[in-house]
Amino acid sequence: MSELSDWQLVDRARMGELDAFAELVRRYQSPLVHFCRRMVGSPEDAEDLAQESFVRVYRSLGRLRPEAKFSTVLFGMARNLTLNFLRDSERRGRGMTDSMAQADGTEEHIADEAGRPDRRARLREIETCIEQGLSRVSPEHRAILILREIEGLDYDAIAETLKCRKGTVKSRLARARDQLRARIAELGLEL
Amino acid sequence: MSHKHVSIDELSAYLDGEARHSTAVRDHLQRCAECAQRHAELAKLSSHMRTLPAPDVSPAFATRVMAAVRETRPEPLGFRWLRWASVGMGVAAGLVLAAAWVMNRPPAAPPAVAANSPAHAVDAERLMQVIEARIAQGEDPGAVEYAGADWDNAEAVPASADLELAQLAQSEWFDPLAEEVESTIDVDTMIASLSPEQVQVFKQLLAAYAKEG
Repeated sequence: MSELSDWQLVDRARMGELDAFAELVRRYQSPLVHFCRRMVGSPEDAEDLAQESFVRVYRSLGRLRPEAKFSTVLFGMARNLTLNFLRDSERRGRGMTDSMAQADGTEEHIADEAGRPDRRARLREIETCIEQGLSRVSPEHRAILILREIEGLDYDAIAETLKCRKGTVKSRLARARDQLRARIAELGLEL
Repeated sequence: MSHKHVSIDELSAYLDGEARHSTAVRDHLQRCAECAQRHAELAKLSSHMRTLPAPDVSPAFATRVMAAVRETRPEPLGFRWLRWASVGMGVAAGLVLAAAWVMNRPPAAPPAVAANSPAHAVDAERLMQVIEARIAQGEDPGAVEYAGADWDNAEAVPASADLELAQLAQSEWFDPLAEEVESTIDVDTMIASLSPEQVQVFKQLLAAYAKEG
């Protein structure tokens, strides 16, 4: 099963082969949960949203267009679901989700770890710094940053995922990067 | 000769090997310390983001997903017209919200639109019946609350607005995952991101909708 392409698996799943869809889940679970985790913060919410993305895409298998990449369809779905989740969280007054909220109090933590010479502490420091910065950029900008920098999608794939032109990806990504850099600077953090 | 800096768009694209004039950007970065520093900052940020560790996925995650998948089933290809009709309702509802927002926007930040704007051609009453019917069918009434949101303080995402408008105009909302994607489309974000010029375009779309509807 693992030697089949995404679309071969999609075709089989359409015919009712659940094992084929299970292979797609295995193939994409890590990057998809990572995307959701960086979008919403909470690990539990991230897994719930990633699961919902898989289920919705499965439900819509019959309508996938062959020219679309399965991964972009999946990330597109996850992006929509996470944006809605964040909007609803804000409406409920929850704002940032748990772990991002926790990141608010991590400046002291960063200062503590910065004194340690070991690499793990430095990596954790960088991660916390970026997490804090990401939590302060708009969800739309956060999504494009994650797709490009963490998931490694190229401009064409991002355009397909976000259903926009390549030129829009270029300008939106530039603004997102600039916004993240500014937010991190505002927090007095250094990378 | 004035000293022009490289735009953030071009610097960011250069970082990804997507700059239109990469040789010119490279040459400029060798001469301009300010742009070179900005480029270095972006490159460092990008590099750090790529080192972020992927979170551990629960061992039971795939099992949970497949259990949920077993409880659902792929939608049949039939009844597509029905789904598209529901998408049409969704778009109509979005247009109503947009119309309400456009027409009620505080005069402090008015878009430069003539008094005889085409938006006045919209049959708001009929469209309201559509959205009320949609809500009566159990769809998310929360969307309506956004008509009273603090639009002027909403964070602008201008880059997406022209895209969303283009999509609306070309009815690209109907695809590819019609029902699923349409149900999660963030109309609110789209409206919040409109610039005054784009509001004008939106008004024209509203008028066209009313005429065709």
